[in-house]
Amino acid sequence: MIKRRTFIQAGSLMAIPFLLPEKLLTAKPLEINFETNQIQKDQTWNLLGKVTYGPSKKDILKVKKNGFQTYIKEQLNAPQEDSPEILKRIQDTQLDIKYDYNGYNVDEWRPITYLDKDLKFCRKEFEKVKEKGWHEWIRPGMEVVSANWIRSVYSPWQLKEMMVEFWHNHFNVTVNGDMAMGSCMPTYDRDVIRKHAFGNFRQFLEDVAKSPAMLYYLNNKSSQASPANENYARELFELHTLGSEHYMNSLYDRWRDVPGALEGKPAGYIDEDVYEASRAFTGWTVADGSFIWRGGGREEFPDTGEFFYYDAWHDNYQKRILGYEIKSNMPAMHDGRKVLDLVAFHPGTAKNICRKFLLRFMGDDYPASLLSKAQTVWLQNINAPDQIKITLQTIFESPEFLNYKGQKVKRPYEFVVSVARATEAEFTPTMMLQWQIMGMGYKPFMWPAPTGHPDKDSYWMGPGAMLTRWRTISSILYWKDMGVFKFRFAEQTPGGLSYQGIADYWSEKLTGIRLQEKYRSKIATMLADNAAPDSIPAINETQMEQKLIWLAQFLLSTPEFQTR
Amino acid sequence: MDRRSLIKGCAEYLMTSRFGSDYFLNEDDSRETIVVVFLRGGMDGLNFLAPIDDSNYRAARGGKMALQEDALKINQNLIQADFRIHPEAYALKELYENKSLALIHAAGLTNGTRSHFEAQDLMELGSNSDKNLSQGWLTRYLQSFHTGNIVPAYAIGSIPPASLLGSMEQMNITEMKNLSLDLGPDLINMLTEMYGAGNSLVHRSGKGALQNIAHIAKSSKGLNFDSYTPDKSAEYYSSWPGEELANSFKTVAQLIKMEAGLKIATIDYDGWDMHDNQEWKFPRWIQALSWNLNAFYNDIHAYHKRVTIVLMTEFGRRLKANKSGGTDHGHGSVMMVLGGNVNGGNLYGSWPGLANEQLDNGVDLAVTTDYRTVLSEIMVKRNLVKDPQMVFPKFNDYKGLGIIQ
Repeated sequence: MIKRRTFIQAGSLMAIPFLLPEKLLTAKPLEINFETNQIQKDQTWNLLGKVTYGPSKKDILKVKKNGFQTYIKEQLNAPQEDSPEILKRIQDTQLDIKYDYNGYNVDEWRPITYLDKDLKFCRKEFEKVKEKGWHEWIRPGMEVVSANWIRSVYSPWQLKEMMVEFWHNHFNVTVNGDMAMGSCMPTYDRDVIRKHAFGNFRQFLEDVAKSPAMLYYLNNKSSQASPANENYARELFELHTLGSEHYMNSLYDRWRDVPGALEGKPAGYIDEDVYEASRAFTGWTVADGSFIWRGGGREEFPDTGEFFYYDAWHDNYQKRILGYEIKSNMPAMHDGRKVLDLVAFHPGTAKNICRKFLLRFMGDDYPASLLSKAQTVWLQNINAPDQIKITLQTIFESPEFLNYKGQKVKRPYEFVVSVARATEAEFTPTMMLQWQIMGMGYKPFMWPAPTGHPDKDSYWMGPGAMLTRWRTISSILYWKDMGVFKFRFAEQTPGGLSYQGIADYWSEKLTGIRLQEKYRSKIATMLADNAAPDSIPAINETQMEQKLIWLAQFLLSTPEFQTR
Repeated sequence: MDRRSLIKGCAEYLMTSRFGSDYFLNEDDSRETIVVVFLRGGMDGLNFLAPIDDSNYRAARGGKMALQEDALKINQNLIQADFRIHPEAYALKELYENKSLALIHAAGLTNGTRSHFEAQDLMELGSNSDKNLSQGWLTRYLQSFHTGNIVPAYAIGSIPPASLLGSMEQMNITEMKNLSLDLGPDLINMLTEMYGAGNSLVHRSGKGALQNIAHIAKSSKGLNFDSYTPDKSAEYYSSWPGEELANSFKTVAQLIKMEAGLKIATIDYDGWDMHDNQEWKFPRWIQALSWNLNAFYNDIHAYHKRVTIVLMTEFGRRLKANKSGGTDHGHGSVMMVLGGNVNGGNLYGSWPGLANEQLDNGVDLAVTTDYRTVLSEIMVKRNLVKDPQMVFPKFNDYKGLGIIQ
């Protein structure tokens, strides 16, 4: 029979090697900003909070030792491939699938199988499961989302994962766009988003334009002359490149009145630019095996699921886009590519995207000086293979960023990932988790509008959002069925600490600050129950674990944990 | 200390402790409830309601993107034309015929933007052009009368709409049963103090959440949030694509029946951006909408005199269909107003026509009724605000259309 260990014994075993060097993570005493009444986190925490899904002990020690600049340089040079550890975690993941559709009753745990497959394979698989319904169609997409959860929690290349999430939002597509959407997601994530995350924007844009995921989602797949389908062209201008700030809707068709247009440098775009650009992309479609009746004969698209240019659908007459004239009858795909040049190289695009970077990595109150600095670097490196990386480096090395004290509300995804990272929980994603986070308003690969998830704090914080957050914490900590988090609070707690010391340890570990005295002593008293707050616990590990779950629930619910 | 002792419902605690009577409604409670349903994505007003005998209409559209003879004929005195409603909107037509529902055609944002996000933002901020307003139109309404700390506005959904931007006195939820918190009294006490000690967005949000659940706990009158039984006369459309919409309406019905002081509810119904495959999608969406609207109205029959429901969308679709079997972003669309105080059973506004020279920029149904005219009429005639400019800054040419009694 195994003797039940007491908490002290377990703790002491753990404590000998780790207690001294670990010490408490933030040695700095608590500071309060008397204007906002907010507690200031140590600047290392603050900076790391901006570029990671929650600072890990390793990150903190690294930055304290080598400085933030070195850390960022390393992060910007993240390898393209997953580490063996991440790969193993993905391979070991069994993802639940449960549905009842047309006589198919499925309730299974299946391994992740689509991630390394190409479009052709995914399309073939899709054909096999097509009649089984939505849960099967979206499966490849859900596998990608799950793998990205794992990477966000465990990858040492946190900045890369944040950028992958950033670009998935920027070039948002959803598994609900078309029944074949799910089958496009593994290649979209791998060969488009991950491939270009730190690369060149113009090249990125073309791979997005040609990705079946986007072709399905914004209907360019079916666009043909004429009238063309303008969905993709509109979002290309409004969301992917220049942004609505540069939309001059009141000018509508008066392109000569757009400032700078006559010199070939239009300040913005108008509806007619959208109409003509949509004509430029006609014929850019997907090889989905369609039959087309043409001139009395039948033509058949190849059936690979890949990008396919079908010239007979193309509107080959002259076009004028952003003041630039495209002649009639240009070579295959010339018109669309020209549009991509025009929008990718436009200064408005530099502004729109750099601003989104600042909004993402700083907050709603990013400094304007940094925006203009970043834009300049973006434009100077317009043809560089690592344009995005260089621009980000400029941002992260700037004094504006290094001295930035602002806080940004964690969006639900960051919030849940940061819980896993802060608690060092053993994490395995499930669909349950996916539905849970959707209840918080965050819908990876299911956000319906092409905008992607908003990034302003006001969207993600409010009384309703806060209540949902608190409820989510309690689900994560107590709801065993969710099966995604295995917490080991007692095991992680250094031995020899008093109740008071335990409260301090966990408060600093989870939130980056020590609780104000009144809460600190109250918490210690509650933890100690009938014992003295400064006494060393004499209870077993299970009892301790219960207390610490309770403590974590409180700490993760505090204002300090809601921001990064 | 075990789990069980910690999760004693916080409701009891909240009712008896620091949340005293200060937190409950103390303003004039005679105001009615407005329910705003936003049809996101640009609802094709011409596929929903159209003059089927108009040759321009017939020429521009083929298949089921044009209403045909089997569409539902309606009585109206707006114009000499055979206006019909989509055949799948029979449940909605019933509301029109019993004079509860008014339809306003060619309504919308007079700014000609064909961007979803810009059009939605502008309409929800209550402006025609100013994107930099920091408050939504409903927030301004709320602030014009509401001074208490509890929540008179509910947004149904996982994030609040821009119409409530800048308000800490709104609460977004998906279901009533989520309006509780599983924390012991001591922790709630401490969180209350911590969130009350700051003024950041996070702090104000936490404070608002705690106050709100206390209020709901007190007002729930023993209603069961786990399962809701609608009134017998209400038959919600609970399969795809109407399930979420049905749940949203049911949640609002519960809030109204609770009589806890609800003044505003917002509901989003997404999916109207039909650039392709519209013949297949539109009938399904319009049927789900009609059924649920009809069910909701029956469900709250005891409150018809106190509730006004308004439906809006950011724009209509292009008159001419595209070659993908869909329609692109257009301009004018249809607004709807439903309630016991509505002069229903008629079309309002003015019909601009569909000939090339009558269209907006030669391509889209023109807007002849500013969306603010419709919303203002509700606000003014129901005594919710004195001057429409309180909620719609710089909107100074308001003239009622006679939609509201």
